[in-house]
Amino acid sequence: MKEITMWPTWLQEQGMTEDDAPMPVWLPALRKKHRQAWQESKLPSNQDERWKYTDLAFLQTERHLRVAPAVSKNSCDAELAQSLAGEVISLVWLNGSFMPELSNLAKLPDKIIASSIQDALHLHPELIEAHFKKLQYTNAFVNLNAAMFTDGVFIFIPDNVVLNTPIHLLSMAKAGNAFVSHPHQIIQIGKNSQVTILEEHSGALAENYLKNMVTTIEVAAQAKLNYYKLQQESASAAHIANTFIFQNQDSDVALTNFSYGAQFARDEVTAYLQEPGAQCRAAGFYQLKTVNQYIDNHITFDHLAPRTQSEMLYKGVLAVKSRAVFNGRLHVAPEAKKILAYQANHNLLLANSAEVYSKPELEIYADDVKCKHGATIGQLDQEALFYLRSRGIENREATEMLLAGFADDILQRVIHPAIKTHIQSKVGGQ
Amino acid sequence: MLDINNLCVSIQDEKQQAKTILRGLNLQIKPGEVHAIMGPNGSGKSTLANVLAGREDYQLNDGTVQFDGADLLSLAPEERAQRGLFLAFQYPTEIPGVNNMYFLRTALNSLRKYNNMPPLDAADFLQLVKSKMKEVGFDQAFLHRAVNEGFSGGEKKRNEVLQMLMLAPRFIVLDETDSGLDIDALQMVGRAVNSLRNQERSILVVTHYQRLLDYIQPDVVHVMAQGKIIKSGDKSLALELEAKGYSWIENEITP
Repeated sequence: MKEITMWPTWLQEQGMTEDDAPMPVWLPALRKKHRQAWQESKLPSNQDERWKYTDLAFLQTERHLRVAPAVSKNSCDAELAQSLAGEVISLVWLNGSFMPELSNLAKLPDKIIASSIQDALHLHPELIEAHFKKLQYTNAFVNLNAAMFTDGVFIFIPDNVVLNTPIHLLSMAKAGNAFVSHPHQIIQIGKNSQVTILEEHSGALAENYLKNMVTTIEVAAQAKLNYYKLQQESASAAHIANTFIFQNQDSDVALTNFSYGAQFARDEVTAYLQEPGAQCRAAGFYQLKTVNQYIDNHITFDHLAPRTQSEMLYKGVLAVKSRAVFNGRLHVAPEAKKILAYQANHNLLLANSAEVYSKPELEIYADDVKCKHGATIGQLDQEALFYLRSRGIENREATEMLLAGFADDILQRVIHPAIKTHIQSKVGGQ
Repeated sequence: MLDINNLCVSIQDEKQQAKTILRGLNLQIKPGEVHAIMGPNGSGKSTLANVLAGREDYQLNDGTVQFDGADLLSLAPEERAQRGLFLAFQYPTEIPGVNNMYFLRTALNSLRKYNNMPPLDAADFLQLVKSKMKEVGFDQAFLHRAVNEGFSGGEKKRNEVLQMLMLAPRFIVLDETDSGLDIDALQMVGRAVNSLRNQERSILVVTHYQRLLDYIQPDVVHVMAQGKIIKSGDKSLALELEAKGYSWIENEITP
């Protein structure tokens, strides 16, 4: 394969154009800085260990529009936008643009901010500026996002707030033309506060788009975050997501990711457990059903303080010729003692030509660390299949039951009943 | 109902060599009859049960099996079940993540669908399963657990009997359902099987011991050795075997 190291021309051209939308005075300089950093970076290639199994050639094949052509809100899946109505505070994006008329903020308490990034840039520019000043990005796709983001979300929860109503971030796509979007998400949770968030991606069949999103989550001391992600992008789309989580003392974060869609999906999560007692649990289920589909989870836990805990549990099913990558990286700093960490990745291959690359990376520089890891790649349990069939259940249904059973311990991590039902209805199951 | 003729079956052993297990087995079971098959370890009893249920690990070398006039061996396992065949497994499989109640309901509704009956709704199903659970002495907590996962040996057997009662099959094969059961559980199995016993339904009891046959009175007792039935008789044969072991019959057959 010829190695491609250049970013596609259409993307480079987009990167050169200045944004003429009104914006705070500090933003152009910030964009310029990230644009330069991006332009200096090469397109990741197979020479790079973290991109060894990734083929980004699809970026070259089609020119994507900088912004999706305007479509009527009626053309999107209004039913989906309403599916959790009454149960959630919802913010809806269509083709990367915030849709206030599809969103429902009726249950949003006054003291909490949940808005599009565009609104936040005008209403709370100082908070957004402070966010960008803190961050040092090295990843090329993250720099690209910072240079070119047009929309996204800003969530700010002050100290001591328990928000019982979940926040639903729904991103839909239906444009009829290939387009690109760079959603930027900022989530800040104050001390002792608690919140549940569902991030959902849905795309109309055969829609071709590239979504390059970046999420930064700051979780203050004793705060709790339950974060669910349901990725059901169009089967032709590319979904690239980089998530950074900063956790303070005794904070508790649970991430649960369900990936089904997109031709190409890469989820990178990096959690910094930067104060004692912080704990983070990341779990995921991925199912590849489209020929040549690619789903990649790169999870990094950085234990920077004593008594921090982490857990990764990712499970996947590959039904056809497709490729899944799991990379679980654990870094324990020298001063981070009394660490508990666990990581596991289990895969079922239903097709001979399916490929899984599962790789644990453990870098431990401290003593008194308990860390377990394991990975399995196997096939459907034929004994179990026979047992179900021997009770009159058709082969196909029995297979579906076993696959749902395989995913069940991930699904059981979804605590909120309405969200659980919502995810179940999307992905099937008991 | 069931007509087995000259059944010859082998299995691939660990060295990938064909090992013959059933060597020309003949057995006829009529509607309403209860047959017992006894025999020493390795005689092929469980193989027979599994071949009837449709396990794919076996190779058919010769013979036929007719079930209600149909060629049983050409049917998929689920088709056999839909036509009324049920095997209570010797070692029921654990299925993590699959809820026991969901499994029972899917199985029952699969059979109802085959028989052109509408699926049982949740309330009716629950009522039915609760009454059957009572019969097998099963706590309702087992409905909400994964199929057989973490069940004790006895609990797994109770779950098999529960499925048998729920599905009410026309032909029942019990593969050493008595092994590992205490007296109370044994009596429960006997009661459950007897409650299903009628003119249309046939039962094949595979067991090592005569004890289960105190509770399920067989019409015919067969002795199996080296892959075929070597002697058949009435229930007194089971008592004789209990007293004298198997070797006398084996000696009788192969002098």
